Parts: sequence; C-alpha cells; structure tokens
Amino acid sequence: MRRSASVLAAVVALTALSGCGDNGKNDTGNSGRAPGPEALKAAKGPVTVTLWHGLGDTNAVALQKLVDRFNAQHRGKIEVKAVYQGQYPDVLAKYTAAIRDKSTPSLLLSYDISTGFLHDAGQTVPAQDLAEANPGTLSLDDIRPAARNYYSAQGKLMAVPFNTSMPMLYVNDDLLKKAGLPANTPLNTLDQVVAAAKTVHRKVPKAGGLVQPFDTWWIEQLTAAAGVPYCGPDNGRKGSTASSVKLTSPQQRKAIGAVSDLYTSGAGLDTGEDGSNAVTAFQQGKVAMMFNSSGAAGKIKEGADFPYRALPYPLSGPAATSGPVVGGAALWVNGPGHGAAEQAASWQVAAFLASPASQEEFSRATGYAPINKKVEALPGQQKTLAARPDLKAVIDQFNKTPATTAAAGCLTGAMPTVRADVLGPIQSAFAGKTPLDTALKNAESAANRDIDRYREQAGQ
Amino acid sequence: MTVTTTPTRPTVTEATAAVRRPRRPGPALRARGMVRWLWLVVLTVVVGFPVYVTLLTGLLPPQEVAHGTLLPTRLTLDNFREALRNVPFGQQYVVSVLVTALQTGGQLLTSSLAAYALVFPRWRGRAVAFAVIVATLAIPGESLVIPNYELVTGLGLRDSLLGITLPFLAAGYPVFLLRQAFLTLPREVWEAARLDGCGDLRCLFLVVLPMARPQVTAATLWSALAAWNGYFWPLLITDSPDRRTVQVGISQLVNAESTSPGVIYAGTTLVLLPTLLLVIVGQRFLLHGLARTSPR
Repeated sequence: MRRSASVLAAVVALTALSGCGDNGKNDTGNSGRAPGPEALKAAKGPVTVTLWHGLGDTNAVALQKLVDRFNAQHRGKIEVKAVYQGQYPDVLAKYTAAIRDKSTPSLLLSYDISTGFLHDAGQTVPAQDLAEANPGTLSLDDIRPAARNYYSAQGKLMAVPFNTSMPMLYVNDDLLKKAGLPANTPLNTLDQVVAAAKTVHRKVPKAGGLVQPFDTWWIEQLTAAAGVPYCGPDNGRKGSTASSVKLTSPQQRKAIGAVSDLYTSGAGLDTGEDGSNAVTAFQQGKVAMMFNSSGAAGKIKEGADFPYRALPYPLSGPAATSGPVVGGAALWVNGPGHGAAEQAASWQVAAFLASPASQEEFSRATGYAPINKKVEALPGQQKTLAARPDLKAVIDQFNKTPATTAAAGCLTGAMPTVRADVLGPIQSAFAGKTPLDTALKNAESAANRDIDRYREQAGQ
Repeated sequence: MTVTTTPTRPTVTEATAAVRRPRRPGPALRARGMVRWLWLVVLTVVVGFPVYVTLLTGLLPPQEVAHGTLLPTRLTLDNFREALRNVPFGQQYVVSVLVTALQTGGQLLTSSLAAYALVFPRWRGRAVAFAVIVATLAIPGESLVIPNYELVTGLGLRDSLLGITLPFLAAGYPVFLLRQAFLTLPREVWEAARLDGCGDLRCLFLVVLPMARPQVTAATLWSALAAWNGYFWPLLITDSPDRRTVQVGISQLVNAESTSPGVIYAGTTLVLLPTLLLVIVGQRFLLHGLARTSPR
C-alpha cells in the first residue's frame, strides 16, 4: 500500500498540475501583494488555520504541543487545526487531489522533494513576500542558509523550513579500533571514509565497512558533496526549474563509483532501502560506519551500547562549493481559495513554528536540527548541545555547508518519480549485476524521461 | 475399559500393541504421512513466524529490538502504551468496525442481487453484463481514486463514514464469486420455489443464499478483509483523526527518519488481532468456499 501510495502521489501530481496549467506561471497565487497584519486585524471573529502534515510518532506529538501553545496565545483570534494526512507522499497526493477540488489547507507542511511541484503548482504565497509584508514576525536572515537555499527558487524563499535533517556519517569507534585504525583517523573526505571501510573489512572478520540505506537520496548526496549539480541548468535554482538530470559527470562517477566499489567488493553492507534497517545493523555492531540522516540520531542512541560518533557527511569536491543537501519538510502558505486574513494568520503560525523558542523545543523533542540560527543564543541550548554531541555535529555541518547551487539540490516537480526511477539501475550496479557506467546512463535517461513527461504535462 | 483396569505396565503395551498392529500403515504410507506432517510444520512456521515476530517485537524494549532477539528475557508493555498514546486507536477501532460492517454488508447485498440476476432469471444480454462486471476487475484501483474523490466530495460526504464506504458498496469480485457459486446450485430447487409462488427476493434470501452458505462466507471474508485493510482511500477522504480507520492510525506511528520498530509492531498487533480472529473463526468456510467455486 505504501509503495502504491507514493507512486500514486506522483501520478496524481501530474493530473493536478495539468488541471491548473495557467496558475502554474503565477507563482504568487495572489493577484496583489502578500497580506500583512492589517488583514488579520480586519477579520471578524477567530480565523481558523488548517495545517496538514505528515509527521508521525514523537514528531507529531511535539508539533501538536507547539500548536496548542500557539492556540493558547491567540485565543479568540487564530485557531490552528493540525491534521495528520498520512506519510509525506500521502500528504502530497492528498494535497494534489485538494487542488483539483479547491479544498487545499491554509498551511501545508510538505517534504523536501515536493518543493519543485509545489513551486510549479502556484497554489502558495512565497514565504519571502509574506515575511516582507509582515515585518517583525520572522527574520529570514535567521534561517540557516543551507535550509533557506533549499527552499528557494530564483533566489526567493518559497516556504519556511520547519523540520530539517542532514546526512551524517556515524562511526563505531570500537570497530575502527579493532581494525587497528587510530582514534584520530581523518574521515573528512569520501576517499578517507572508503579507505577506512576497506581496512575494517580486511582486518575485522564478519564486519562491514560502510552501510548506506539504498535510497536515491544518497545518490543525490554523493553528487552534492562532489560539488556538482544533480540537475541542469543550475539545479533548477536560477531561471526556470530543472529540465534535465545529470548522473554521469566525472565527479559523480568518481564518488558514486567509490561507494559502489565498496559494495561490489563486500566491504559495503546492503540492508535495503529502509534507513531503519541500516540503523539496526549499526546498533548490532555489524558495520563500522554508516551514512544516515541526522533524524536517526535519537534512535541510534537508544540501541547502541558502544562508543560512536556522528561526523559531518564526507565531501569529495572542494569545500567551498560542495556540501550535503538538507532533507525534511517546510511550511507552505496557501493563497488561492484562502482569504487575506487566513493567509496572514497562516503566516503567523509559520513564523511561530520557525521561531527560536519553538525550534529549540521541537529539536530537543525530535532530534531535528533547529532551523533558526538564534536558537544557539538561547540559555538552554548550549547545555543541550553539550549533552548531545550528535545534535551539535548536525548544527556544525549546517553552519559549514555553503549555500551553493550544488548543495541546494535539484528543483523539479518530477523529483518523486525521478527518485523512484534512478533507484533500480543504481541498485543493480551496487549488487554487481550491471556495470556502473551502464547503470548511471540508464538511470540518467530514465530520469530525463520523467522530467520531460512532467514538463510536458505542466505546460513548461 | 479393559485396558485401563489392567494392573501392570507390560500388559498395557501388549494390549495396545495387539489392538494397533493390524491397523498400522505400510512403510510407504507412513513415509507419506511424515512428509505431509513435515510440510505442514514448514507451512505453520512460514505463516506463524511473522505473527510471532510481530507480537514479540511489540513487547521488546528498544535495545533488544536492535539485537533481533527471538527468545526474549525481558518484556515490556511500553510500546503498546506509546502506540495508544500517539493515536486514538479506540475511536479508530470503532470507525474501522463500522466501515467494515457497512462496506461488507453493502457488497454482499449488491453482489448477491447481481449474481442472482446473472444466474437464475434468463434475459438477453446477461453474458455481456457479466463480462462488463468481470472487466471491472482489470481496472486498477488507483485510477479510480480521483473520480471517486470528486464524486464523494460533490455529494458533500467528505470526512464521513458514508464517504469512506460509498465507492465500495459494490465490487466485481464478490459478484464473480457468488455467480460461480449460484451456478453450481441445482436449478430445479429454484424453479420449484418459483412455481410455489416465491418472488425473486424471497428466492434469493430464503432459498439460494442458504444453499450457498460457504461461498457467501468466503465473499464476506474477502469483503471484510479488504474493508478492514483499506488505507489510502480512508486517508484521502477523511480529515478528522476520530473519523479515521486504524490503518491510517498505524501509519501515524511511523516516524519518517527514525522509526521505533517496537511501537509500530505494537500498533500492528493491535490492528492485526481482529483480522486474525476473523480468519481463524471463518477459515473453515473460507477454504470450503474457495474450493467449491471451481467449476465441477
């Protein structure tokens, strides 16, 4: 069901887009400027803001707590109703159905790779316009540049990042020691990580050197960390959104090849697509190093009974231009079909959720890195970071990641289908069934077909 | 009686041996029996193991889950508590039961009426009608989602029990199942009932359906399992947490980037139990019904 739902999300996305082709060009979704505080003041009676999200488990509980606090502070004026709408792909599918039906929510928390589609759909008001129309609510300069970069198109912030994660390198120090590697072995570059993984595999019987979940996200990360764009032109960030995918550049070939060599030689551990399986293998001490999301830090801690570290994701390109891409989700304020007061109220909610206090609390409860830079200045935060070196590592990485085209990741509405179609050929190469060059070429042409089809449907 | 009153052990053995000896099967038969038993054991393990793992993992503390323990030393109800804390399973249970009842009842009613019309009365075009019904089985459910969504929303039934069930009140498969079942019934009985003045509805409910009980049960189980396991549609058409089904609830236990397997397994156990009970109680009919639908 899960799989069919995510495929459905992609299919429905196309249908919805073709239904609102004209709107697609009008990226404000609003005829005039974004509504400001005066719109809210003019409202008669309390304004209801529906917030759709795809957060489950502890994340949903933490979000609800923040929403409850907001409601208490704005009693009689704004009431937020947070509604869980399934996992991220389900949320997007439901949202696209809602576009056709003109019943979109006031505020949408949607995942990273829906950014291109939401941008094209033209149903939302850019966060930057709302921030300008509502001075004193949220200073966009406080948002971490890496996150701001990801949710921007043509230099304009489209949505307010809320929960963001980054890829990390987790290291089992015991296994490195057993392999005779000194404690200060440098693991800053991909080459260093690959060399260490090979040593562990050679010297420690039955231990794997490296595990990464078999998800296309990791191919995108290897690309960004090599300092090259995943899509052309310019990752779809400068002019129009992306019109092609690139998987065969020499830098990508080198980085993806290094990891794929680990897998074909047996030093890499294959635990399938689900990141949780990789976490389990790491906790069981079966593998010395793991690429996984910073969002997994909390769970790793729960079950690992050996010393380990969270380190920045290793780069293979120059530090000035390369860096990992953020993941997670952002808040989109919807325009068409929602009155000015409702839009202004939605912005108040988004600004509240991105505020230093909310971000600190949410980060502490969930392990997501706070997207607001001012969180570091809060009295409790330094104490939290001292107790949570893994969280500190993510924040350091956030601060170090340059806001470059490569690190922004690809912006296209076809991203969900591209991600699904790149996976098969890459898996086949990592399993040693297809030569890597052939696999990369196949994946590239499949991805380009997806983009072409999407652009045709969206009238681009 | 004589055996139990016999005082000494050797006599018992002798007596039972004497009784059993003539019935003992030949070596070939015994070997076949053994193979059958082994096969059954293998099947039981294949089917039972995932259920065992689900139940067990739901009861394990996080560290033990990571180590893949199969014979635990420590069990906890924490995962169940966490699952119940995060999702209003109680209310969603009620919704799921109502949805299952309504949807199954609707499907059964429409499909038995359709199957009856396709088998007993003779009318022009019923072969075509049947072909059209069978053809609906080839339409992927995904392609119907948007039209259904627009229809249900247009009727103002979003976020309601009726909205969840409406598109599924009629389904092709149970029609097919019941039609095949009705075809195997003796037509004479129906004709006799008609001659005695029995109307079509009475014929269906008092004569035909009771004769096809196993297949009706099979159709019921099929419909009920499909209704109970529905996920995407109930999610799409509802908004309030308390109008959602347990399957939607379960998905809310999944944390996109760092899932607690224990909690998900605990939730799965909670949702699995009714399905499991339904299958255990109804399996006799299920097997019988499925076996009898094959043409004879």
